[in-house]
Amino acid sequence: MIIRRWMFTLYLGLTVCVLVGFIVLGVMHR
Amino acid sequence: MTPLRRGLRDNGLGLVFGGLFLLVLAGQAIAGHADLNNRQLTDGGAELSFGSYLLSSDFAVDVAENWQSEYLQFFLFIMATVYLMQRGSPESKPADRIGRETDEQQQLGHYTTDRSPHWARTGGWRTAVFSRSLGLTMLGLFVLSWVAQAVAGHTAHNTDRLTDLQDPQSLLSYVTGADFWNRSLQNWQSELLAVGSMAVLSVYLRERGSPESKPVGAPHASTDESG
Repeated sequence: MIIRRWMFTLYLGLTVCVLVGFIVLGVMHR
Repeated sequence: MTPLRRGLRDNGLGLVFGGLFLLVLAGQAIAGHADLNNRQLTDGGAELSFGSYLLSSDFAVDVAENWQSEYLQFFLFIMATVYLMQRGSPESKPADRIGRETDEQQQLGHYTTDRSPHWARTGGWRTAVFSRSLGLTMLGLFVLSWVAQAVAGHTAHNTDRLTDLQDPQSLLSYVTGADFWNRSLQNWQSELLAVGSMAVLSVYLRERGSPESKPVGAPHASTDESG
């Protein structure tokens, strides 16, 4: 139960954070 | 079985794929860094440190263009399987369940139980959103990845153009141009072929024990079975 919740948060949270990071970096490097 | 072992067994798919993902992403970063530096040497440019490569648009666009196509694939597959069927495929539902299905089939309204998720029991907008949350999340991640591909690809493409002493392109002209669409379409075609192959090949082929396959002895024409 605890692993399941953690994995859900990690999969969704890390993916969104990485993508937002890419966008922010891309905009900053322009 | 100890609680830890049971926890690992119960979450094998998520843990193994998540772990392999991190390993392979690290491999991609190492190979991508080496490849970029090889090209820098040929072009007479300065070498990039590994840390700078991880924060570069070149790495971001390579990662994002693959992610967007995967999320698009899952979004399309989730939505298409609501309304379309493939007779004989374990990925398809039978003809009489095409569409959003009844509250009874979906365990909604009067058919919820004490163990149903909270947002499935409340009704109203919460249940409406929860009923579409998997597709919406895949769509959202696709859009976010595609925007990341556009922004990072634009920056990386302009860096290449500056090296070649060409004028930088605007974001609009980049997202309507060849580099962006070549990257997008070459990923989409492979995902569509893979999804189509899975739907069609699983009609006549079997993998004993896999829930992605029908039971080995199931007839070719039977739909909505897994084994």
